[in-house]
Amino acid sequence: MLLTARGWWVLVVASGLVLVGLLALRSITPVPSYLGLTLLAVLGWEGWQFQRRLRGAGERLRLDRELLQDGRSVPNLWVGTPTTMRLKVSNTGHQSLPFVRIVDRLPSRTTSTEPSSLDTRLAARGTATIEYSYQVDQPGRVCFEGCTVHITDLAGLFYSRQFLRVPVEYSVLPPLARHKSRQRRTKRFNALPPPGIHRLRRPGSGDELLDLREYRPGDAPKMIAWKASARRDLLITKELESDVPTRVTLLIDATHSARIGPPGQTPIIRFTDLAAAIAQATISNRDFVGMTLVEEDGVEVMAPARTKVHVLRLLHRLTAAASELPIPEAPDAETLARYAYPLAQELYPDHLTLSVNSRPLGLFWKPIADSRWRYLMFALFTVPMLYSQSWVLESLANISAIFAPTNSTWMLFAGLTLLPIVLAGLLWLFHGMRGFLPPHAKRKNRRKQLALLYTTLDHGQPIQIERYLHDDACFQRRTMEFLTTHRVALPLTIYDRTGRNQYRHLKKADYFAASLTRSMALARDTETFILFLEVLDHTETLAPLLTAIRAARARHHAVFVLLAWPVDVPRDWQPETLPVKLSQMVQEVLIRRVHAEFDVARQALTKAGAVVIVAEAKDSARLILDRLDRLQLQGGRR
Amino acid sequence: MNPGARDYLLLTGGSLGVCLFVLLAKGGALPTFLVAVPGFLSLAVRWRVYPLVVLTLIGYLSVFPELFPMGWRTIPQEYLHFRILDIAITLAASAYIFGYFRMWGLRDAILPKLTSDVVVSEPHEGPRSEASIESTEYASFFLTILVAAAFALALWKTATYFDIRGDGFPLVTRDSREEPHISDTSLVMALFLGPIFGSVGFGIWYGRWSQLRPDIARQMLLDMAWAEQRREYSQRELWRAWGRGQLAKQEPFSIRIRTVFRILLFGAGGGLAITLMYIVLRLLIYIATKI
Repeated sequence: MLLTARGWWVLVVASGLVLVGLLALRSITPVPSYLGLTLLAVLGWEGWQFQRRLRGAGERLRLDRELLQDGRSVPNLWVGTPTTMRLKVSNTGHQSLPFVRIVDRLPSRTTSTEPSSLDTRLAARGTATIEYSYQVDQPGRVCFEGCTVHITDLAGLFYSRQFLRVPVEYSVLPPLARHKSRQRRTKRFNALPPPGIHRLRRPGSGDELLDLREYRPGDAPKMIAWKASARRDLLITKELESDVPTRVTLLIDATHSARIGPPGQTPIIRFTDLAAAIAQATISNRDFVGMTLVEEDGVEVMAPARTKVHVLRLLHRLTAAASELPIPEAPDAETLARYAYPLAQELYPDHLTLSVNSRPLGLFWKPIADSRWRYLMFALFTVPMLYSQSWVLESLANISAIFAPTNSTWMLFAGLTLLPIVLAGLLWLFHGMRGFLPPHAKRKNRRKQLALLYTTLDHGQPIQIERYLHDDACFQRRTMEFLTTHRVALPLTIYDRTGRNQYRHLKKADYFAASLTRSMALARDTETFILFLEVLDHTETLAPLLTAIRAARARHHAVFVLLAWPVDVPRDWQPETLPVKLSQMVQEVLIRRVHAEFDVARQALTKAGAVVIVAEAKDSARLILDRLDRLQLQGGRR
Repeated sequence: MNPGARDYLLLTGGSLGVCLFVLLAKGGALPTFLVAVPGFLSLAVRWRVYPLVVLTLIGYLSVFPELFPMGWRTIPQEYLHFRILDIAITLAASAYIFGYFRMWGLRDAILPKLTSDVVVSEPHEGPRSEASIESTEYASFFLTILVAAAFALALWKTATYFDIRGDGFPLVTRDSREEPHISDTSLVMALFLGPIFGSVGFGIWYGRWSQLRPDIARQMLLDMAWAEQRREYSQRELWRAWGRGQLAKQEPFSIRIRTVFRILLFGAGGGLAITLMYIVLRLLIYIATKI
């Protein structure tokens, strides 16, 4: 309904004045009815105007969105870089709207530094523009679904809400230029850059001396080592080392276990940030970077390359991996509906109005035949069958005669014989009427409205609506899809009743081991493998990975393992001497467990030959890069 | 304060002042004071019911200007005729009510509160911004009130001028010496206008369907199809759910045997209960007959 609460009040009071004035006071004074008629006339005029404007303009609005950086339109966002969002709401209709409030719907967990709304009058064929600065602090993908347009008259008596649904998704890429200065300082660049800067102990055209050998015809005279030749009385030639590029392969854990954590501080976000920094620093040294994403149902490999296009492709894939949400273990249909309904109300208000999404009264009736009470009602209805036995009626007549006076015996008799039927009827009535009361009515309402919305969006058949109403599994599946599409994070229950992590990936270590072995098989020289791994609750399954790391070390490859330390667990933790509260004790047990898990994992990985770096949330990408550099210079030793 | 809100505050205060002046002229100081208190409080305190209270009080005091009901017979005859003061108080009260809500929109909140099931992007609440004020809105406001009052007056005059009577159907002009009020037959005939207006409204509502968006139209058709065949679909889905449940059960043989035993036991227990009831009833009858 378009009337607001204040509009309803004015209507009620004005109608009351008219009715009382005409029915009771018309022979006394004309003022109440005249005043009421005037108010109704104003209200009617405003209402008609509002409807006309709504049809002529409110339903003909168009939204255009543009992302600007330094005045230019850009297709992506960058972490930490302020970007301007420009929205243009155009009125293509022939009516003007005296007041609209346009509010942009920001993606979840993001904020704008400036107001993302505008109060304005929207003229016919006119345009309203909103510009606001927007910044995202974590990589991933953000989706702008559209904007809400609140339309009302100037007195707020009539109101309508529209959602201009133009979903646009942007990648939020990790910063591109921040780590360009991370080029290695161990060697200067030549004027004509060599193919790489890493020393290889094979003859080549580098700067460092590799060996001396006898002169062979064809050797360049400038390579003759004159002092050595003079000492031996034989022409000796210098051999120089090769300058070669190396290949760095990033193996990133993108399973659901790495997506769990406080919003914006999950291990996958941390991995994305670090992997992007390492990839850019590596490519700036003219080395090759490859990436293997270990996902829930397999791995995705990006072959090593060192072009700028490759960096961008890699960053896009990383952000896509970081933006996915863990899928919870199917909450019940009612919980899902409670999450989905407000979202549907916000995004699809026009699909949920009563005129297009009806709620017939019969929908709320709770049929007793579908409940356990049906047996009782059936039993009550079958009781009159006993009346065919004469002794039953005799007994009832005798009881009536005993307990009632003579003149009303027949009434008690009739009451007793009809009692089971009356009871059955009351049971049927009360059970059915329960559906009209909260919370049943609210639940049914939510579910029906969502069912019709899903069916409309899927171009389904009418029977699909009834299926969503009756089939919980079907409704759960579709609602999960709806929520995932609109990037709504559902609450997760990480540990089940037995204390086991529900998101533990049993094949994760196998996938990592297979990826590492595959990369080793394709390796040409000594290579660097950097594994970004979430090990919490996975220490028991690390064996295949440890074997693969040992094999890699045996082939002189460098293996680094980056572990993301949980944000909400203190790293330097000392156990309390005497935990007083139960909550403290539980917290201590959990912290102790995390520490123990990490210690076990670190020891096992180190023993296998990998260099383990534990990345805390406060550690910046630069700090991690420094540590990696230092460890690489030390030949992969800790 | 927002300049627009200030303008509307002055307008509303002025309108209220006119109302009070008229009430003072018609009645006394006490009724005027009674209207003045909630009237001026409504301008200061954020409670939207106050103007409606003022409106109701004005309606009441137009009948009983001295506050207390006087006998029907003692009502002065001039009350039955329109006076300038009546028109003035109607105009002022209308300007007060609608001006007040405009001021509310500029001072407190322009949009209504949404139900708890609806979550929309912030900011939803908050007053209307100053930038959205148009210079022409004051003129259109006054014009709307004046035109509405003129329309209502014309309606009233027409209704009191013509009388619908059984002897002179359809219309008979009322004698100017008669009291200018609407007769019962006119009221009854007015009720017949309801279906006409209803039909016109239905026609407009039906006409709107031609302008529906394709997705909304499809949803309406889906909804209608579902509503028509809901019972059949429901039965079908119930059977489907039952079949799925049966498939999911897959009870082992031992459990089925146990279920059979339970049924037998339940039957035996039922039989025993009926027998006991029979014995008790017989006993009761026997005792009753002996007594």
